[in-house]
Amino acid sequence: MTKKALVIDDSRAMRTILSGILGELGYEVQGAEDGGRALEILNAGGLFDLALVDWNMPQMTGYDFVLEVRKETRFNDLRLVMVTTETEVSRMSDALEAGADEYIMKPFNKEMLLEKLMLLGIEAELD
Amino acid sequence: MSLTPGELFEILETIWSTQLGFELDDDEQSANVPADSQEDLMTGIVQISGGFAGAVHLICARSVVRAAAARMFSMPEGDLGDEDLRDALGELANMVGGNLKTLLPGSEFISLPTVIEGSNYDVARLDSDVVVRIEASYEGKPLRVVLFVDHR
Repeated sequence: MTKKALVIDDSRAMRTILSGILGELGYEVQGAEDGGRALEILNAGGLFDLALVDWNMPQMTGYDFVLEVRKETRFNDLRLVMVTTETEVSRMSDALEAGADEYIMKPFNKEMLLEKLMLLGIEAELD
Repeated sequence: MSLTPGELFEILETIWSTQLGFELDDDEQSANVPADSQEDLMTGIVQISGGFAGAVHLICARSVVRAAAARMFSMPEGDLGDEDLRDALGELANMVGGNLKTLLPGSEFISLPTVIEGSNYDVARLDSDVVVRIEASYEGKPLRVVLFVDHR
């Protein structure tokens, strides 16, 4: 069965980059421009294996999105990876404590993202 | 404030090389190119707040933004619209601000980016001082990053 990923970032450019990489990994990808829209998608019944989440977004930040998702046990299997310019260790700790599974800092490249995904047990080979 | 031009250039260079796969030149000789250039410029601005309050401005020739956007959107430059360029520059400014914040003690938050574009313009940040400013170029076209600290 095709795995599904949700890419949450207010930048269309960043959504394009992340969607491209995940597409190469065989994911079916849906985008959301902020945490609020992503929650709507999840609450509408969207089933996803993975969500890549920016931190700094309008309406609802990625941090708040992670907190909201982790309140719901039905999303326990959803892997959450923060992809953000927030590079301080304290921010990373905050995100992980809130329920994020991994954290990757912008800028990044394909190999760096793949490495993080493999830490989550997502095995794939990129060209 | 001990931030050096070298540290700021390293942030910019890392973003350009890692995210875009582009090589930047640290080109002090291009210092006056943006103001005199006939080419339109684009400026991405991110505010920084907290114990440190100020802003970072990423100023690029429009052709540099177009090249970056083409890479980010995986599209030919000719197919890109104005919104694509604004989005790409905003995200790059966001990366500069976010990475810079780590080096600015007390800084807590960065704003969503703002983008200004046009020709023969200058952006004045009132009641602030320039902390550090660097000049660089990509394929001969100028980039500039300026960090301002606000007066309290």
